Amino acid sequence: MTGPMREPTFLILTALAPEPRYGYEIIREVAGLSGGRLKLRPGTLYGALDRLADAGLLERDREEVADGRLRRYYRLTEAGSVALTAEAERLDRNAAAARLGLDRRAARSAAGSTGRSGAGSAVGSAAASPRLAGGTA
Amino acid sequence: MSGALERRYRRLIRAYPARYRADRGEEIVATYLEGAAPDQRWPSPADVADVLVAGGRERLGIAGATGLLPGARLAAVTALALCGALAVVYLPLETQRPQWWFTPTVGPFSTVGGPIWLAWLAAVLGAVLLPGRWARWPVAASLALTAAAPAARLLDYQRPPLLVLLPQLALGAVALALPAHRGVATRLAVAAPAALAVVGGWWASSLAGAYGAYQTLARSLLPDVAALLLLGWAVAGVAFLARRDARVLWAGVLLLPAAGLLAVAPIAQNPLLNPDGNTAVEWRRLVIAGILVAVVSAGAFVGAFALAALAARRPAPPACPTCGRRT
Repeated sequence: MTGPMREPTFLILTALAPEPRYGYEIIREVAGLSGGRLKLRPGTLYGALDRLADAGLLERDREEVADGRLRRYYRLTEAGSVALTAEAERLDRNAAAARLGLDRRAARSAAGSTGRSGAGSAVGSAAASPRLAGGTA
Repeated sequence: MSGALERRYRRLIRAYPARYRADRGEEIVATYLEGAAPDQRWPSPADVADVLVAGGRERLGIAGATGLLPGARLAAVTALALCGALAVVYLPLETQRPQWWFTPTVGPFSTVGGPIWLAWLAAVLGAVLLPGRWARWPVAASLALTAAAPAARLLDYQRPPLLVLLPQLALGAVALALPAHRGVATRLAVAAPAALAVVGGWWASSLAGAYGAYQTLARSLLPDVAALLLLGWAVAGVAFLARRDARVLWAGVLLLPAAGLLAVAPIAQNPLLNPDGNTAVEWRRLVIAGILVAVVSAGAFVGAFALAALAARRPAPPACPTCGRRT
């Protein structure tokens, strides 16, 4: 898998990072990680799990039967862990660059407003001076 | 109630192929049921759409046809480059007019072909200069203008012959898939053939007459362009297939209709269609040749799709020797 990861892929791998999970658990975890923004449906989820398994990033772990229903657990592979780590570092670098740029922007705004208030005082006193000067004369 | 809902989900997952259902069916139904509301009786519209799309993808083997979209983008760059190059060659013909020309002109041009070729040059310029998907709009506009050319007769204007318009239409349709992200190399690749085709335009301008010159080009230059296209595809295909990259396969399949239409005049002259060796233009033979091109192109597309789906087919998981379930 080359290039930046799509968000659903990243969140599925993140959901599997701490422990193996089954389908509905993955859906719930992805929703939680995205703050409710990403609600995977089973059809979409299992298509993604197939693609990620084909890419060697995850594999089937075990099966259980709970309440008469099949639960198939998936786990992150070593390759999946490496890919997830690389993507997390890439996102970290991008976020750090964005924060640096925003800090510089804030610093420029602060410096600009300080300069303007200094110039304003000078103009104000210059405007006052002629009146004072006229009054004196 | 959950029994009825479960039956309905089981009926819904018939959208998946049988082998996929045997492997995943229980798991998918269990996941839907676990996410269902306690009083839910029917699959939600979103669930239905989700299953239909996912099942359709499995049936069509979309996962296997991973070269299709990159191939379409590669074909689009090639197609637009050719559209621009051909427009450069055709444009000088529009400025020539025999003294006996009696139909209204379109500004300085003999036929509506003048504005059409200018539109294609603008589309090439758009691909070089415009950002992202904006570059597709000039392509779409040029395609619409080309498709509307036959209607010029209703207003007594002349149009270029269909031998020239149809390949441009076929190339233009493929060019709509122009990639949104285009590096410097891609932008140059779109524009370079048009720049080089200036030589071809200079040669074309030496041909006498407007409409007659088009016919000469359709029989001499366009089949050579088709041959070059197929040769380039074959050479690039060998290099790409060595890396198991199916992009060029798909690009060739998508450009096959245009290549066939560029070569339709010699195809119509083939002894199978023309046993008498008649060199005169005969619309019946051209139409049959066009239909042959369409049938071969459709067959090539279906064949490529089937090959890609076969190549992507996942082997069935091994069955448990005791219980027969597949894990």
